[in-house]
Amino acid sequence: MGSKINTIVLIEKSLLSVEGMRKTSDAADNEQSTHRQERFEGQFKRVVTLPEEVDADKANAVYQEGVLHITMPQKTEVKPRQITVSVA
Amino acid sequence: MTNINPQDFAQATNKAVAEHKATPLTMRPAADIHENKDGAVIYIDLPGVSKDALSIDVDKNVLTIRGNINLHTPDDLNSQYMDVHSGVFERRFTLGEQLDSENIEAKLEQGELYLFIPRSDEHKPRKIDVKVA
Repeated sequence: MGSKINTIVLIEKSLLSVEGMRKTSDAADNEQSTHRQERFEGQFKRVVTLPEEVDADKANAVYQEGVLHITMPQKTEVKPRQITVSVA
Repeated sequence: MTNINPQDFAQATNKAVAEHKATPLTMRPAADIHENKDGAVIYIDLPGVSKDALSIDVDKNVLTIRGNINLHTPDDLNSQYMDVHSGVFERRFTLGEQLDSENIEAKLEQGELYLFIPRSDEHKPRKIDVKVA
């Protein structure tokens, strides 16, 4: 069952792009007639500019329950650090 | 001219936004409907929906699919932009009387729901052999 999705996640400099192709199943089955076709089929592409403080080298992508989750941490140098004050 | 206190205005706006958020908007997921000699096939896009968050029921000839979309984002995440939302969805279909609503088959896989509603036996196309006398 199910549709076929090929997805490529690409990070180039500060641009994150997700592109791919989705083919919904059974569309080309001659044995059946289609009454309604609302679901997306075809090529897709989405480009997002990443903020500077993101560490794209540590990006992680997971496809779960039909949702693509892309996570990336903040660069360590922009993370707030607490400095303990020692009393001399 | 009436003077609007900007603070009152901001307060009223925040209240309106909060109330709007409190009433969940029911989403209507996209569906494909096919028919073949055995019955009807319905595909529904349900990204972010787990098996436990999905309910399918049939009342007379109305098939209702409803549930919750959960994107599993961390609680402390501060959204900067949102195109994809968590929330409730519902979709209803009226089944033709030639379909057997007692024997619906359902499969959920990677955010995609497959439903098969078989044709009642008496409505299945039958082939009649012609005998030559």
